Amino acid sequence: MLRRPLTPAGAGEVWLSLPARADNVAVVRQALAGVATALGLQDAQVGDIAVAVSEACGNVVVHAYPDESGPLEVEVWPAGRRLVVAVRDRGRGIGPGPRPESPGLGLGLPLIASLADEMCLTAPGPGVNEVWMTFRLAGSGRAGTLP
Amino acid sequence: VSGPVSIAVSGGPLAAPVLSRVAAALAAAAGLDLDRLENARLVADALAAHGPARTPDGRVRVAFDEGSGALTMRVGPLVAGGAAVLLRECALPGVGPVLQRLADEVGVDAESGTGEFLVIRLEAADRRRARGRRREGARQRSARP
Repeated sequence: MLRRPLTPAGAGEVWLSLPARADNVAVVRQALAGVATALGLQDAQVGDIAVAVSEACGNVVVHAYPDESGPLEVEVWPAGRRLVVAVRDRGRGIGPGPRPESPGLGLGLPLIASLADEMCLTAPGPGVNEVWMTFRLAGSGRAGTLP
Repeated sequence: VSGPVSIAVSGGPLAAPVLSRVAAALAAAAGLDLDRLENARLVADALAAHGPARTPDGRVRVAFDEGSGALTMRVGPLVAGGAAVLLRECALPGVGPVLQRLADEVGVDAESGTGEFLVIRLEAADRRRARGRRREGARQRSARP
């Protein structure tokens, strides 16, 4: 079983909490672009991370709060030569398996799994659902120099 | 909507690139024009540079509230007296107090009971002009005998 690289929730290098709306996924992507700039990541890897995290955020927007509004939380922290990104909701979450009522194609989680080096769905606390993923840093030499 | 956009960033190399990009994205969403968007970015850069030393744990927390034509950044909690020091540290020789020059309103909220906060508001150009006209009208009225 995969073990989440440890950082207490809320203590990552970057933590974002936003209303779970589609337009806010673009804000998350901007934050990730800032992380990528600081770490000197290569464009191809930045694209993979952005797509995977956008998919996870999109799942929260579409599935987590069917009848109400709620928060989308994103946390980012470097762990050695890996970048860890956790995407959380406090609603229904999303799990593997068929969802007949889903408006999507069901490709989001497989896509995340193929782009990330590790990916796991967890429930780190009561009422909290989390997708965390790790990406091996393959940057320009500055990558992985953060604590 | 379940509240404003909130961000917490540890002091270090991630702070400025992350904060300034998020500020710029939210400034655009608030309908600020390009000049004001750049000002939001500069404010975020200044907060990333000087903010971590004025918080209890070295992490800058900003709650962004984007309404139509305005972006408000509520920075904190800061250590007691941190807001005044932060404003002073953001001054540049020959430029003066940078945050006050860039923003339309800068204030300190120490009354919330959860610590001290620096509140920074940037408005779109048309709102600034309207506010300037109102101010000028009020000034002229008060100057009449």
